[in-house]
Amino acid sequence: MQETMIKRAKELLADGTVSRVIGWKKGEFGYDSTPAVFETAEELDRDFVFDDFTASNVSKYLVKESRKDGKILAFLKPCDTYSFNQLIKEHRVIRENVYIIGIPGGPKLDVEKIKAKGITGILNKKNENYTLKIETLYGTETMMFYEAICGKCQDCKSKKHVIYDELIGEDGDVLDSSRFDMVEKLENMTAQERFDFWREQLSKCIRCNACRNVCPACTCEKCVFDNPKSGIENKAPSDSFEENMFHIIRAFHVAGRCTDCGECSRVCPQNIPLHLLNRKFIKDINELYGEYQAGADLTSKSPLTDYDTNDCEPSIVHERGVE
Amino acid sequence: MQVNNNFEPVIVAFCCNWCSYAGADLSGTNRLNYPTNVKIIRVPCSCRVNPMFILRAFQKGADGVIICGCHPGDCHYTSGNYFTRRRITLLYSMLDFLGIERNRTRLEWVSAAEGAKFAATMQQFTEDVKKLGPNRRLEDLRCRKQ
Amino acid sequence: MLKISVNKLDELFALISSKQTLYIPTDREAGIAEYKKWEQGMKLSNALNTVRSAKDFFFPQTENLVDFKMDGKNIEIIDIREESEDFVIFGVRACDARSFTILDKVFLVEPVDSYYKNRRDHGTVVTMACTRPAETCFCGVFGIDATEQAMLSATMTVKTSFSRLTTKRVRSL
Repeated sequence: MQETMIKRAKELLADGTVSRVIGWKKGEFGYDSTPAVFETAEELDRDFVFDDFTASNVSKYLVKESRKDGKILAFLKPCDTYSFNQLIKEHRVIRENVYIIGIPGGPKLDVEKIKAKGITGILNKKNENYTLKIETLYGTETMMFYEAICGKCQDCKSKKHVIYDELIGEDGDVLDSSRFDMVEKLENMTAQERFDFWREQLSKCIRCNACRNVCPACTCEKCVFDNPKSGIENKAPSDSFEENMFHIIRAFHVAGRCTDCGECSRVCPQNIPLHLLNRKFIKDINELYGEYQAGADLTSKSPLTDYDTNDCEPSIVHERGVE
Repeated sequence: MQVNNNFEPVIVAFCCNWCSYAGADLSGTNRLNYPTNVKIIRVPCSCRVNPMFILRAFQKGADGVIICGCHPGDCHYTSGNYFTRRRITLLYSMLDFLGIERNRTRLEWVSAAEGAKFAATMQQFTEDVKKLGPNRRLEDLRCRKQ
Repeated sequence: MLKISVNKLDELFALISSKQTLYIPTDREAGIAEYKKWEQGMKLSNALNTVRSAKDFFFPQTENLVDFKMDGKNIEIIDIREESEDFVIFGVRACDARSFTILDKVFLVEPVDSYYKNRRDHGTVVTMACTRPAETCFCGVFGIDATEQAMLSATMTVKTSFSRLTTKRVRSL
């Protein structure tokens, strides 16, 4: 797959359709790939990588990249295409400047899960019959493939590419995922249990802002958390209120626009399950205002900028879930 | 949760200028009593209320927050309160999800002629919040009055 | 050079914590370690390092510097500094321990940061050498010896690094 992608990218660069390519580049270690922009065929040959560790969503970088001169080629996995679609809807990217090639999704691996098993000094990995053979500085270790799957890939909601100019590989279908299971589990706990759960999780937050920086829905030029006048500007949380405030407000600002790409939880250095907050909003919107998937198309109105004269009252909160 | 009988909750009420603030005014001119715990903040429309205001109110010491607006269909700005309804439903649901007591937040539609309803709503809400005790889950320790 | 069997570590922790507060790295969930106050039954983590470094004990991300009361135009400043209690941090890695010497160069020269000095004077650092450094480790690049960074104090320096290695080999024999 990596070879096919590089070959096609080189063709498009050569015939002038695009002047830059955004993809992933090898980092210092085999598992450490980062999004990168390539401008020449040599760079592609040297650094371009696409493998089980390239889980990052490159749509957000297109916000800046599509504003530069020339067209850019982007390789988007199915979940990334939803983010890109949502960005088009919000007029954050210039569609004409981006040439999209849809690439297969498929479970990506999270190196943190491999390290959590105590496997360090990772050099390389091989996938044999769903068992991972990992070469480390200390010899070869094995673990099951499914144990290393990235959190967001475990609840994959769709293998369908909702936007592309061409496809490599097959297009897939929208899947029946179990992504709301944990949300439902939490809703059925008592308020005290929920409060304790979230206190335990959110007290880990160090306000690194990685979740905000990687989120494709967070594209404000001047973020409220950077504004010294708002009182919640960037600083370490000094008490429980500030920890709660950041996450409630950020989840609220992306409510209705979040495509559930799962990047926020993947990048959190403290493993806080942020996707649960966003999924709670999505679940509420689905149940109260009709099924809605952000980024699935370009014309539907976002639920929070729309209304129905027969909407339910906020007192419905008293009738749902467990107190 | 022990409730001190001397506990007087601080209630913040966001009232929209055209209906509920006028309703509050009417309850005043009719000499109808409502608790002094209620601090009214006048906004042009209930949809002016940003979720950050609600969290800010809790941070600065409020024990309960209530939002009052025009009845759906009667908004002075035509559709503002429809957006309020959606936004506030989702916000209250999220606060509930985080474990904040449900009875600390409320939304009520009060028209300019419903002075009695305003007073009764405030009375009831203050009672409900009083039963819950002081806000500890969404409080900012630095803002607690010593 | 003192030795102690790995099985007896819990007893050592109990003994230390009866004299001073003890913090050890312990697993919060698989593979994620954090420093926590030791309690009976707590297991020492096998993770290479904690997510938040031991620097938090001496230089926390946020702290209350001073309280003040306003009375009209009069400000009353209340000094809330108090002597820190003695504490022991066990299992600090060499890289983190080296960072303390660098922080000292900043905070313990004139003008001395009294908050930092207070905590530093009352804290004892016991390091643990790494037996399985990761590919991302940089101790070699900076010349940090994995076994050398413990803070010396009269009675409490235990080079468990050596003892841990020995007992591990003994255990596997």
